[in-house]
Amino acid sequence: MTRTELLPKLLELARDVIGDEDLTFDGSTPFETIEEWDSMNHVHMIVRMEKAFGIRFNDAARLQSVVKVQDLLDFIADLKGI
Amino acid sequence: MQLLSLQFALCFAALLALYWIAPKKAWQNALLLVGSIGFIGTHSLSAAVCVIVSTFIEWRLALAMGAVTERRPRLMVLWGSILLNVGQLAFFKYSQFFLPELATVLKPAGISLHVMSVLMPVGLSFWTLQKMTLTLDVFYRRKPATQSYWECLLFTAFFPTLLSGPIEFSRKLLPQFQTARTISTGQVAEAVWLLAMGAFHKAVIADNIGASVEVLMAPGHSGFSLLIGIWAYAVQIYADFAGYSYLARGCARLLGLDITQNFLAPYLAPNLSDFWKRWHVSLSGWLNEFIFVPTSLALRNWGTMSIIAAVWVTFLASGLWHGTGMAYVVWGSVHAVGLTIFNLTHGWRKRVKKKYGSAGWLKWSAVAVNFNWVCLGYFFFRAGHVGVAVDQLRSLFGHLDWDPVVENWNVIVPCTAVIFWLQSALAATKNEFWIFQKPIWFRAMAYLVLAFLLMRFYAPADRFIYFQF
Repeated sequence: MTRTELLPKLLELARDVIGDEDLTFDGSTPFETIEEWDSMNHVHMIVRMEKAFGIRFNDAARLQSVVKVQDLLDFIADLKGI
Repeated sequence: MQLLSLQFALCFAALLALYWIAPKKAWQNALLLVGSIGFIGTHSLSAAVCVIVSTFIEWRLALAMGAVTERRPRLMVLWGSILLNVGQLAFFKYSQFFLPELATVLKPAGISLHVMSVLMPVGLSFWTLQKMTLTLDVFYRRKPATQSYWECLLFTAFFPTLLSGPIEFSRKLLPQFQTARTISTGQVAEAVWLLAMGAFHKAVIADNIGASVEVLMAPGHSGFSLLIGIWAYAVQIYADFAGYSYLARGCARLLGLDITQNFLAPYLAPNLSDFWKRWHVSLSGWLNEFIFVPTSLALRNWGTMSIIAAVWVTFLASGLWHGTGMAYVVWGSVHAVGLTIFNLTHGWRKRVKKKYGSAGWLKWSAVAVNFNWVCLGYFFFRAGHVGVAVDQLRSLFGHLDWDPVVENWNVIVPCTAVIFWLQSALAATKNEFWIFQKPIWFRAMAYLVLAFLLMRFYAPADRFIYFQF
């Protein structure tokens, strides 16, 4: 998996968790502007991402500092070493 | 000294004049600090001492946290902070309950315990959580530890937020004390709007409808009276608390500072998850960041159960934070049950949404159900005693017949209509300063109407409901 493949996969997961086929975002989108990305869906997403990407978000401090979609993509890329 | 009083207005005006004359931010901070400690001192000197000492310990802990990078010592400092703060809250909030009990238990054993009355420092629940972010923000690497004790003390004691929030994060408010402040005519206009809305919500809506609530929910009334009463209480508590938040934000804005918007039209939320993104935003943000997310992530191997367990931990903590006694635990449990149902129906809700989209009837039905669920919790929150609330609920469902005691329609209906209209305007524009998008004649009329209503219907301000916490 390459870095460019992360965003479409993340979007696919988010559409499924939130239940909105029309959901769209890019790297610059802050999570607080995604209407249904609440704290519960955030946790659902973390569990789904760990399974889908084969990673484990162990750095709680870094996870708490994720503000934009790009922050999350960078975090996943670092954990996967890509 | 209350925020909505002539005494406060005069003191604040004098402070404001000196504040903007002061040539340097250090002088401005010194004035704010003296004003804040003096403000606490008008309530009690022991509270001022408590804030000063408690903040000193927190400042040292935050510095210790910032000085180490290894996980283990950082966790030890974090737990030190948590235990100290939870211990402080538990001692002041619960000692009046458990010390007399302890004295009774020890008496037969011949041990005489002299029980002193312990007065809870003003705003303890609010400033304790705010102060904790000095350490928590350093632990989560959101900001470096602040080197100046005086800035930390100002952050904890900051008078607009001290009594009832909004609860600020150190990473947001502290940097504002560390930079030079300016104020524009636009900010002054916004501050005046916030202060006017605050006074209107508290003195016109909350205190007028509050008198009707007392009548409607008095013992012996029918279920119908209780139903109207609890709906009116929902309006009262919102207007009371939002009114305080407006006043706090207006004062801060006049000082060139920006603090969190605490309410975002909460009664228009279609579910409890959304409600908690709109009601007491600063507390729910704190609980979410420091209790819900860490707990659910720590338990995430449990699947959906991790979220449900985290919801219960969060809302039981919220209940205990709000007040002493089982009624607040039950209030928290009502919300936890609602959110558990919300989580367990995740798949079903997705299918409903797919089938009906965003149909208006579906949305408004959800808003009505959610509002009434929130009101169910209010029975326990308002009563403060489980037995009283259960009796009221029995009457509500057992005698839901017309009651002529509901005679305060001339107060309840306009107050409720105005609150829901203001919430709709806020929800539609997503901008609390929507008034400034209107033509100047509309704004002038709005201020005239507000001034008229304040003069005509100003009810002698009782204490703010959240002041007791």
